[in-house]
Amino acid sequence: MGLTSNHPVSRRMFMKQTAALASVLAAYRATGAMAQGASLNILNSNTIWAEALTAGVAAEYKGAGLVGEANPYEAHYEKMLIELSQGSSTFDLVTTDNLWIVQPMANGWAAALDDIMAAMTEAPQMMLENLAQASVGYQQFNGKRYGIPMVMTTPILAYRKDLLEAAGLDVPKTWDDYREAAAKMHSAEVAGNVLLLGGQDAHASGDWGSRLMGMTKIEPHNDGVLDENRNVVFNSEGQGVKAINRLKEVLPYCPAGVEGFDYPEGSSIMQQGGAAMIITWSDVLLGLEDGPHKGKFGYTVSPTEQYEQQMVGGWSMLVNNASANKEEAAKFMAWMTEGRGYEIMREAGESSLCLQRDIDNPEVVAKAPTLQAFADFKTRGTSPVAIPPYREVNAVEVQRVIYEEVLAGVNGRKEAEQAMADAEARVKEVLAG
Amino acid sequence: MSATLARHKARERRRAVTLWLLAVSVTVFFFFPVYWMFSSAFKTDEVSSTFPPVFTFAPSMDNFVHLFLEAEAGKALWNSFFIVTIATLLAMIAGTMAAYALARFDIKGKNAMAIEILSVRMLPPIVSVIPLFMIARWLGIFDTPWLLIAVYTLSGLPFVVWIMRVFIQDIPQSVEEAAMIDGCGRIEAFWRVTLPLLLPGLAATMVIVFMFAWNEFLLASLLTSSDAKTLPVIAANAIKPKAIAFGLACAAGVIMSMPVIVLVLMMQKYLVQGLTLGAVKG
Repeated sequence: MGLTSNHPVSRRMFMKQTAALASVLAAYRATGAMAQGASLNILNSNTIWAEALTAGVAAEYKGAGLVGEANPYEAHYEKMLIELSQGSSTFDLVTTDNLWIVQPMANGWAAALDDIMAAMTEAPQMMLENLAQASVGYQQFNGKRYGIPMVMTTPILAYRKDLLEAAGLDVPKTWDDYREAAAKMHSAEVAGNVLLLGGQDAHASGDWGSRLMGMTKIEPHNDGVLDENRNVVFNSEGQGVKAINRLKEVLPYCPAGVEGFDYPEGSSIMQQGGAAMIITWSDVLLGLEDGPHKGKFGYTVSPTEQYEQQMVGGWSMLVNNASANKEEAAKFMAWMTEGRGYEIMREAGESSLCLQRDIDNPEVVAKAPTLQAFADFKTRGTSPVAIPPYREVNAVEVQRVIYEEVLAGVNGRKEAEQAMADAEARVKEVLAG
Repeated sequence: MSATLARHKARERRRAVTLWLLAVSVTVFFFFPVYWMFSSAFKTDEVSSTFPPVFTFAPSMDNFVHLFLEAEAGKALWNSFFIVTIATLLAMIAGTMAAYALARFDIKGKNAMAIEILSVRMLPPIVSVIPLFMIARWLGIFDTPWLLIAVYTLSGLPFVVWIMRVFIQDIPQSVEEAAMIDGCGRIEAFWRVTLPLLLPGLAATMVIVFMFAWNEFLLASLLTSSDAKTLPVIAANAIKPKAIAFGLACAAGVIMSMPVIVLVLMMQKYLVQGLTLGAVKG
């Protein structure tokens, strides 16, 4: 039967087709309806802690339902920009990398927790003293608190204990030690170390930033790239050039294809045993202990040049200003600061923790080995500094410019001095808007 | 003479063996990633990250269990089927009819019209995200399948129009004219005569339009939230922000590729004809 048939579509056939279509639509709507309900919807990451939020934490928290949408890293940022900039109320809570956090706060896309609490008749108490102090600064803007930290991260040195021991070396504490270890452990089978040249955040912050931070004295509230007055300071004493040169000296000891390596590739090659050392953010390395070389890795704070200081970053949670459930969102955050929510994340396998009692607990550190880096802060006297350029609304754009110039310096397309001069000029242009 | 013949036969045999080995090598080369994806889908994290890679292992269903029980792949699979099937059908029906009109009728400015239709494909998808997001919110269809159905239909339409126009032009108009002399109307001549001849082209075009929509990630990620999320978005989540869950990614790849493989196998007979149609046209 068709369009041109001489026989009209029979009533029975019509009823059958209509019923089939209706059942398909009904089935579809039923799947949608199941997901509905009174709850806080979270624009979420796809990390272990983020999955724990909508699983274990949701099961434990009785104040409201917690549902969420997991997103890969780049898609998460794009979605946050689109949703919040358009005033969408789809999400009540938004998780954000601390690199992106000023953008929603400065643009009014996030609601100030202080304002929400002030409007509540029975405001819950925020117990921020339970959290690591280095993690609670990012959610403050113009004197108001906008959210709470989810996890706290820092660049750490992950190394193969067995290979380092076989080479007769101690754990590198300076960049000279690191270069020597990379050269000695390098072989046809195992690269001496790995850089992450293919990733903007991975290379600009994890590689170059971790080297930059120990070269000049930086106050804890500063980030080593821009000062309080938005002056470009990353090469004020030639430290930007020095950091590029530190990267260049270990480039020959990297595995083939390193030009395309971002976080996943760097983490994976370490997991597979293809490289002996990496310096990157602590949450990158969660998977190492799931691979065939588990137990062979050591973790400590990143080496330094002159000053014992390292970036401390992480992820935070904000309240969407367009949300209809702002008070419920604030209550949930207050509950989180009591600590149980963070413990559930840790129990789910997260090790970039910001609950101070977990960080101070040797049993927890033993089970979450990347926490050792934070424990080493005390023994090495390392002081935390902020992630660059955390105060800027367009931090991702500033970072992109720095990344392009650092990469040009590292891979030899430009002299290091020229790369840094170009980076300074371009960053100033970006800051000028 | 016989020695020459024997030498010739030996040379031919060597050539045949060489070609056979070459064909096998090329097949293995292209099939290996597919084999690796399927085998890795059944490996645990520890086995899949072992280097050198292992070829024998105890298969595990953990990755599939995780995808369906924790990552809601079942719901996403259903969403993908529903959205992509309807979008493909709509694009095929509307596109083929438009292509027929452009191929057969003397429409003023039809070439400009065809280029205008194609211009939809010239727009980078990311450019349209914010306008689509605003329209979707205004219409109240954000995170519903109807939005993606509309978007995929519109993005598939230019492709169908341009490809089907060529297929229709390849069918002699005299065939339709003969049917009309025999008493068919224009629509009946199209339905009974032209359409059956177009089946190979329709099949090839449909498979390609289906695959484009089936694998689309950007719009599916940004224009949905939880209710209308499709399979590519779930699959992308296997690549964690800072590490790759290889087994999970491969399991998602297996689930994503199965429907396309089945569709291609079903359409194989038509596809071969469709893809080679016009290849020897003088």
